Amino acid sequence: MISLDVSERAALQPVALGRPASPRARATHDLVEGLLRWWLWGLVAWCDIKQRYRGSVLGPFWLTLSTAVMIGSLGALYSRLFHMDLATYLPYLSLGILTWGLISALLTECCTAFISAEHVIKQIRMPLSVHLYRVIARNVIVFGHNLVVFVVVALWFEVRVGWADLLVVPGMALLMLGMIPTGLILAAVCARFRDIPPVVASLLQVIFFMTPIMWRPELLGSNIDLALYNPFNCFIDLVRAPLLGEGVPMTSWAVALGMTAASWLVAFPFFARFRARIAYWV
Amino acid sequence: MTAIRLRDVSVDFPIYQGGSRSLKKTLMRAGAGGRILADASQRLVVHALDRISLDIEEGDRVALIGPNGAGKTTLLRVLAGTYEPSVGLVQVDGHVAPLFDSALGLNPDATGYENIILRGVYMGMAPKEMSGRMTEIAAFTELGDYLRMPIRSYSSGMLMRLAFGVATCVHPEILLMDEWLLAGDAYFLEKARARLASFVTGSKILVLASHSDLIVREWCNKALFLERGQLRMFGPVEDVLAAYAESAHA
Repeated sequence: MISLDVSERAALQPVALGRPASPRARATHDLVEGLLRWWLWGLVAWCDIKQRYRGSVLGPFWLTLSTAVMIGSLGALYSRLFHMDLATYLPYLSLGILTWGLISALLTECCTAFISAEHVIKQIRMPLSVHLYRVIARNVIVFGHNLVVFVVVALWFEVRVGWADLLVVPGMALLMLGMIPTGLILAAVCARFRDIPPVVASLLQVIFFMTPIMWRPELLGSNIDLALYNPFNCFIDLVRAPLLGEGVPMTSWAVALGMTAASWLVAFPFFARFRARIAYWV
Repeated sequence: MTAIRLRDVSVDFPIYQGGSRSLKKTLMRAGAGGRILADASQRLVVHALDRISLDIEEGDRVALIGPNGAGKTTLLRVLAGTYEPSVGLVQVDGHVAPLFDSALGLNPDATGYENIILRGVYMGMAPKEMSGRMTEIAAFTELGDYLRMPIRSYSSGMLMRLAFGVATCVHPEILLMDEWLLAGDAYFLEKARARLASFVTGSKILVLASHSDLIVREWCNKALFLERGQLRMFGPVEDVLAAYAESAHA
């Protein structure tokens, strides 16, 4: 009946097509090229924030307000429970909760980074990492909003400000550097297995209580190592300790660096192997 | 030289449904059967594209035709670069603008102006470039003061004007379209046609998936007949349409 396809195929000119780059090269390209498109993920993240401002006067500050209420009431209660001075406990608690809020929001939202960008992923070719950077940028902006709570607490209790506070900058940088590979794995795995996001959410709840956020590590007494080597505590320390005017413990730097390196070592080969499949998964 | 070349391109689709979407079930099955992960043979796999080879050259306006499920959308996505084929080589020379979904990358609560920038940025333009082309796009869409309103209030035809205006203003060398273009009113279709005509005479490539003979004859000079993921025929519109009609009646 129709046998034209053979002759049509024969008409193809002999064109030498270049071999595609290796998966690793393409994964690297994806991550770097995505980062260079800061104007794309920056703008989209900013739109996400503006979205929260629309229809409400406070916008993202609603979240700030609820964080403030939580910190205020927890602070009043737990400072009595732990017999701690409110002037030292409240700054500690507020920074801990704010940084934890950033980390847990990032981990939760990275789970849906690819799933929620399904339409874009299927239609327009762009580095997949863009969707991850968008989630990170959005949450850093929200963190900036919430930081207002700490500023108020710091002014109220006259927390001393010094040059050492600037150590928070490399601390935040390391936190982000560690978040990218972790978020990448979560985003990809959650695109494939849809039952993971709830698991992550309930794990985070457990981790919140296991991590020195509401309590100080010293309270563990001889078991203090449980807190000192808890990677979540170490990452929180990178932000909390400098702003409190305390030095960041070397263990925190070491564990955070180690965790970051380890997650890159896992995430990069994983991403290189499965990057092309993600469009089929979402 | 703008061109699209495919060599033996196959796309296999694993269908993830029910249990295979769940990590728990996947692991449980592994435990019971002694396997680490679900065996590939247990998954349902669809061969969406089967060893497609073709060359699309500058100036070609290609219609993708074929019954539902023939692989037209998958082929468009391969051309757009979003689906990387399981086997085969794809070489696309030229800046591609996919125009599959008029609502892509749009934020319903943002204004028309904001969305023009947003969508342009998704299509790979820097926000500054987009601001420079704003007047041109605004004039093309003829949406006037509506551009100051949230696009939540737009009709689907208005959304399409906006999307089409942005997609063609980025001056792509290759335009990929799905059939939704038909949603416009007669007046807008006329404008769109003029814009597309000038676009194609700039010796660029258009690939359009369509079910309508009318649209195909009007917009395209070549047609590509897909059936069950295989390339049945690629050639002048009339020949291919005839073959398609014959196979439909056979």
